[in-house]
Amino acid sequence: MSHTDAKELLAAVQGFLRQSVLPQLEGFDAYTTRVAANSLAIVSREIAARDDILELDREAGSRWLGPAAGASPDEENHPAARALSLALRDSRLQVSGAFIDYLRERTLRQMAIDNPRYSGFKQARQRWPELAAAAGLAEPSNS
Amino acid sequence: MVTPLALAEVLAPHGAEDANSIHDLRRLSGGANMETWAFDLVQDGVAEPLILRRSPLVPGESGTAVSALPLSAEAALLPLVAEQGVPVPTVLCALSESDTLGPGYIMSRERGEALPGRILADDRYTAARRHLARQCGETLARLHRVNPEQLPREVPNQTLAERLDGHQRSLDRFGNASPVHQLALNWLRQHAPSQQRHCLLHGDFRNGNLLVDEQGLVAVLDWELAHCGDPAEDLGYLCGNVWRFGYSDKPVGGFGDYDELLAGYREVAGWAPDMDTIHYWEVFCALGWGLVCLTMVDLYRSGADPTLERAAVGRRVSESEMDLLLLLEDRL
Repeated sequence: MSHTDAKELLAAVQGFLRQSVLPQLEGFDAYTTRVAANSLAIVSREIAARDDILELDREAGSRWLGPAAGASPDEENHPAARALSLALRDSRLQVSGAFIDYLRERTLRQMAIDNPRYSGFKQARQRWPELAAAAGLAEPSNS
Repeated sequence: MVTPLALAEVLAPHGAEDANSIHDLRRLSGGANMETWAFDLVQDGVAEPLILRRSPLVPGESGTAVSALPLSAEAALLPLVAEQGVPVPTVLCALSESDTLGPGYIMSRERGEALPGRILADDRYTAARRHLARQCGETLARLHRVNPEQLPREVPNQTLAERLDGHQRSLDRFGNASPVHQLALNWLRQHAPSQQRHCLLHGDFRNGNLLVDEQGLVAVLDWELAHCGDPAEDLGYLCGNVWRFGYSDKPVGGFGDYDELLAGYREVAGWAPDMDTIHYWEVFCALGWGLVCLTMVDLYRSGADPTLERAAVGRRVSESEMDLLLLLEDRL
């Protein structure tokens, strides 16, 4: 038996907060405790999905700004996304349908980490089903 | 620290004797920018329900996306809008920075519900939901009639171009890490409405800042983002998807339709914005929400406000990105 892994610890703390702590609280403390448990859920989802977003950014940076923009060791800060944003600001990037599709897929993936219950997430998956399917985020057909 | 004793001291001129005059003190949830406390002032066995609003942080740091009004200006604004027929709480006393509880103010606690989840789902508000969009339109038209010359001088008064420049500076200051935000800001620059009026705006007129009872609107709360601008901004902002709280098919706050809002506005103002202009301000609202989230992250990272709430709101940036992409579909 190996040691508890990070996802298991996160799940255990979430369970503790929701099942043991929350029932004893009310008002502002209960609200903040729900925020705490939700934050841990975000971390769990991010551990599983972050590399896909970084890879998507790298590909986009490379495609629209050249290979140098795609490659960077500083992955934490999404350097390729920032380089694309600055290129938009300075009118160095022509907005195309393919570029908009990249932004949609990126945002779908990020939304799936941050708040999959957000109403805009559901709308976007219905409006752009191919992109959602490509990201593994298709709406269940019988929902 | 907000304690019964501290409240009794500032309320001595209003009849508070000691800490025992203050009952049922509690912090209310909601309101990430501000501390809001509820309590009762009890005199001769009669309880007067009151609210304390205070901002323990240094207010209005220049250059941030959320430049909140000083609470003293907010307290001065409420009587001005009340004169125009806008339902607002009554201000009891203002607290300066030198008061232990200040800066802030104490006002009447009106009866009603402000939690969007309850307003949108509870059966007891079914009738209220039918009237609310129209009432919001009427109320906004009244608020937009306040004479700008009477406003406290702290109320921001910028042109749209100046505000968009400010948004660019904010995006850059926060690292400009979102191509969606930059795309949206570019769009807002290219599509600014050619004809603009200019008046006092609430600036945060949305579900969550509206106190509602079974008949509908009771009071408009949270005036800290009041500023001058195009009246259509307040209407578009109210329709932002983030303020529909999941009820996206009801564009006005999750409870009503555009037609009802615009009809209410037209009835009082004699005119109403067109749908393209409303859409423009919905885009502006969605980008503004993203900047609010980034400002919260900045407050957290700088150590100015190291609370979990601020850190967590930083993960709602993607909501603004999602809404912007949906709003700008077929318009780029």
